[in-house]
Amino acid sequence: MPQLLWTIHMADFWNSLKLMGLGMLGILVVMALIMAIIAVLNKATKPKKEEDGSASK
Amino acid sequence: MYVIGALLIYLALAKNFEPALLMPMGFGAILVNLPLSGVLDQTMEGVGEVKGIVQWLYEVGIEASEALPLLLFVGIGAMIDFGPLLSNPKVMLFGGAAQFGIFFTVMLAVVFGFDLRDAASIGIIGAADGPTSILVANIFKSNYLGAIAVAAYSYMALVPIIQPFCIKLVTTKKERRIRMPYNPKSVSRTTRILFPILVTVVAGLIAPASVGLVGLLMFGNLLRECLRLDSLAQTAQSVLANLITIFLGITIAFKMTAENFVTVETLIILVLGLVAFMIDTIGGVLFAKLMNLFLKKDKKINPMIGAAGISAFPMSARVVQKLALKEDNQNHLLMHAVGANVSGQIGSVIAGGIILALVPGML
Repeated sequence: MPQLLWTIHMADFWNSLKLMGLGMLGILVVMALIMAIIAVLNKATKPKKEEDGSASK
Repeated sequence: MYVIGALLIYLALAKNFEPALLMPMGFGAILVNLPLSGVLDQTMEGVGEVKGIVQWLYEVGIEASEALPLLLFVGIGAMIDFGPLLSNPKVMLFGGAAQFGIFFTVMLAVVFGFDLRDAASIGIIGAADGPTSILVANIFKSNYLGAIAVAAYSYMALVPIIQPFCIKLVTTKKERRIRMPYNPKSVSRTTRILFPILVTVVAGLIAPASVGLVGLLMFGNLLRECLRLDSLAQTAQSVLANLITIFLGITIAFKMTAENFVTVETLIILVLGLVAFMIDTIGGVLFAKLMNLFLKKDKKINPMIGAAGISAFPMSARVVQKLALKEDNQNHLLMHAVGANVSGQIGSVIAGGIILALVPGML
């Protein structure tokens, strides 16, 4: 069963702050990476524009 | 517990609060609390131990393998259209920022005296994503799985009430009236097919613990987007998702026996869950306001879009659209909000994976 409520374990408290920092950093890094992947995918798979007149002969 | 079970059924049926989950949970709460209930393992005189169906479902479907919440992700993935996100990828960041409530609530739960393992399980209510909450709480063997599931699903139903209050708290009328033209770019089929594969690989390399969550979500999405397996995609998003939903609610009820549920801790968890949802919303909005500091005047983001970065899909996007129209009846933010909302679906499972990866090293 649970430990006594309202008893703060300082080690857990510092770890929770560390988790907050690392967790938010980690998630934003992953999201930024995915954003970059989407940008690259969109660019790489964009339908090619029609070439100019001379090239399309 | 009979009263709590009846209350959950009432909220589900009369108030339409996530009825697919809260009704089975409410009914299950009554089932498992009947004296010598046959849905739980019992010892019969002269016969020995007799298995109970709800306990068996819990032990096999959740405790042993986390199969039920994970398989539900296949169905969810098959339901999601990532198109609005793929055509406007900058909203991706809101799906990360709006997970702040998770980490804030972990800290708050520790202040309330929960150990880090239980605090992390409680914080994940802020993922606004029932299966992720159940999965994380189960892996951490939290004693509060029942309360966590009830909080996660109840507050998801309350998003239309919680979010407008929080958004108004941290935005001005002028900010809520910022218009954002929607000019979607076309998204190729190749992008739609490669996206779920690459996201799984990236998330898996950075947070290996998230592979189960992200992988099955993206597998479901690949079924949908490949356009070769329509029958499987349809089955995943309807039959599979419905079957698992029926049993997930009633299985979670195994953790809703009176001795586990009728406690002060349950009440505290319900309050912490509410805080998690509120801080998620505020975190997303403030992040959008922060981004606005670096954007040109004509490129400003309506900060309400940040609030849609939580995983409650599509309620959150609808809330933002409704608020925007209330402030300015020509301001249509729905597609921007939908993009942020589906990014929240990815963000919540990645947050779950990050917590699963980091917390064991801190115990």
